Amino acid sequence: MSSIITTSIAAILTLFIFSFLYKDNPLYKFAEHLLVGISVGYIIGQIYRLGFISYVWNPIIHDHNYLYIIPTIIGLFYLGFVSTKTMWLIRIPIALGMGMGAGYGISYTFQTNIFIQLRETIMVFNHPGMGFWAIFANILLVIGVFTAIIYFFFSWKHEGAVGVLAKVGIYFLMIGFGASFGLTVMGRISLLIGRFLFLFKDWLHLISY
Amino acid sequence: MNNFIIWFGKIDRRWLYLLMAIVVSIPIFMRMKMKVKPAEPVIMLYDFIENLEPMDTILISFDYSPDSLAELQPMAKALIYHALNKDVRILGIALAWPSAAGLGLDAMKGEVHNYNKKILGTVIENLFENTEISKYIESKKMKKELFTNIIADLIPAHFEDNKSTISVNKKLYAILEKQSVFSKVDSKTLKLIGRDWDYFGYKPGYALVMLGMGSDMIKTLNTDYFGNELKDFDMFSNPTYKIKNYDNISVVIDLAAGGSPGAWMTYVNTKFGRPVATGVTAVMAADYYPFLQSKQLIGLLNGMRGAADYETLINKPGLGLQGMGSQTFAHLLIIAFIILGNLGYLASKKSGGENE
Amino acid sequence: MKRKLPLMLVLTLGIIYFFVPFISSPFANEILYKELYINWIKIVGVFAIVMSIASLWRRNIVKIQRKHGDYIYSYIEIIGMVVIGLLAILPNSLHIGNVNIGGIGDRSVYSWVFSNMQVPMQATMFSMLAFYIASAAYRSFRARNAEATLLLITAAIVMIGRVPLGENVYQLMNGVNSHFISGFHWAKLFDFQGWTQVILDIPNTATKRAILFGVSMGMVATSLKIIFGIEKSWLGGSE
Repeated sequence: MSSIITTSIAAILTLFIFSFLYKDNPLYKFAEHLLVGISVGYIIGQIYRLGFISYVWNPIIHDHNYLYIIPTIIGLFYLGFVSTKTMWLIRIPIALGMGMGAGYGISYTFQTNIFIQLRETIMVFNHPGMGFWAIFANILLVIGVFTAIIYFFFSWKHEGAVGVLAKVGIYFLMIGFGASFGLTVMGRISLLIGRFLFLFKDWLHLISY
Repeated sequence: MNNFIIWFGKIDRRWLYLLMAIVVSIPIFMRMKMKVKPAEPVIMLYDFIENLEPMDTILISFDYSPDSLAELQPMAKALIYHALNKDVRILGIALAWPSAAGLGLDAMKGEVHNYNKKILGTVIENLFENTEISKYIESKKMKKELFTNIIADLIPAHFEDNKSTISVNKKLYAILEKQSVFSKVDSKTLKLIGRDWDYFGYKPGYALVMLGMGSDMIKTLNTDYFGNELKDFDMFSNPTYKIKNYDNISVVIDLAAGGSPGAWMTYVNTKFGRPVATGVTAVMAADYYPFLQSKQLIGLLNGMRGAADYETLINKPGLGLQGMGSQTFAHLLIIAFIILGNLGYLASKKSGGENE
Repeated sequence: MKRKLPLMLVLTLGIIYFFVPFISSPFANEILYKELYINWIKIVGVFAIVMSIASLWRRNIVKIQRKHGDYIYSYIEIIGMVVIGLLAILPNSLHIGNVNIGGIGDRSVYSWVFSNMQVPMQATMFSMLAFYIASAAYRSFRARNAEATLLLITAAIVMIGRVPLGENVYQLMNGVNSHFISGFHWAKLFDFQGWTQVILDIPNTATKRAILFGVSMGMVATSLKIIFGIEKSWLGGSE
């Protein structure tokens, strides 16, 4: 298909979705449901080609790895939803994945998100040759982590010294959330710019860079 | 002023939408070109790739869906462009979302196509002077651009022995063979699948695939996106420079719109001790700064601006830089809205009205 | 049996696999880790998709049968899903002219539909959030107290600092500073990009790290609750 027709289809569907900004309407609904349908169709394609054929079919049929029939049968338990009597079978593959995953992941999650992070907070001054600004920044970092944790620690009443620390913590948190908020605005606008660039540049060719 | 604020507070939200649309559009029409000063976390990743040697390998994980296309696709393109020009081998995979597979395919195929097209520039130009080929172009009423694009895929397909690309252009392929075009091309200069790059597409299993690739890539992934068996490829089977697991990968770069950088760090960095970098949407970027400070990430590209920074470093303007003008104006509008909204709030508070 | 078996499986496997990373025996590494965990569970997971397809299918069929509201759109969903799914399953070699009808290759109909229908629609769906955030900026973001004011000021600094305007303002102020006033480098106060980096590197890093500690503890606690059968919601309601 020629590129003009192709980009026009994409652009018209884009406009169908944008039409919701004015009000809900049949064009938007058409596009919305089409999107749901084709995206599930897309997932089917990926799972079939890159999951089923690659993980199940080729190893069993071509490479004669017949042991893989066992996980395939366990996987087929997902089909238990067809009847209320066999519905419980779905729990077996879920239990296998969850049991192994939860058990295996604990130590690595702890190490990645807690041990290393804690180490880098405590050992922050363990770098020789730090200038004044780096030392000051690191002190602030440690204070920020500590006071923000105090704020989230509800076993003590936020009074007296704890209250003061929690107050400092909340100011740190507000700056942190402010940064996230500013970046959120940025992210949302970027997505819109992407669509406008598509409409004006790729479709209408009103501009060229 | 008060009257204006009260009037503005009551207008239909759709006028605000229109204002936003206009503000975003103006810089696009003005072709506003803005320069950016790249941020340190972007420079860190750029320097890392810049210092890689030819035949080193990077793995890019495409973990975003079309929702965040505008932010992450320019990053992907810039990173691939950089790696291709450094003769670094590139692998691509999608683990978090099936729909990322198509975006990864577009980015990788697209950049490799552009690279090969540039390399084949003079070869293709000479083809237009060939009478038999000119006849073919005329008979098909083919535009020059389309022909160039087909050839830029067909010549590498010859060296890759890519049957599906060859079979759809059977006639043209036969002509090229007859004119011994392929022998005039130095295949070493091209980027070929299975030698210089490969793309796996969406692989179900998420963390299991991350872990599996740490032991044996061939066994974990089996086939690539195009249905090729990995064991048939030189890049995965050559005894001297094969890619077996993360030991042969210099850095994993996760382009993400969800929690996947956490999983990559947990399994690839913590378990296998390999460097991880990430490019994320601006919405979630702030959450990854602690990992940058702890050096669990060796670089961070933050939203569209991150892409613009990288494009500046590689000196190849793309969607990231093109969007910076609109981004600036839209931010000013949002700040103006916040100020106006708060002025209205103060005015109504003073007059003892409702807080809203 | 229907509830106890899965709970027993989770308990046993959870405890065994907790220790797997710490055991260096070939049995733990080759059988428990590489074969059973990675290869087997990967295969099991492939079939999970059947459930989501079935649920979408069933929802739409029920709507059509009951002629519920906008049931006409249910046909679109089903046709979209079936056609695209089937095209992907058809063999790669099936082609008309230079268009691949079957398969998921880069010149296939499947990929064309993805690039020219799914991508633009899905990208546009989320881009509309920019409009909603503009409206919310005017109506909801109020500086009601010191904390909220601090949040909004930080957000504004970051919004300016992350776009080229921030650098332009700094350059302008730098010029003024060096031409008219010597000594104190007050233009530094207008270095929005620099301040944004400081905000992201220090208070943001500190607070996100504190939150990360909490979230990670929660994740580990949830894992333990699942393993020991305290958290059972994943079993679903029925017996």
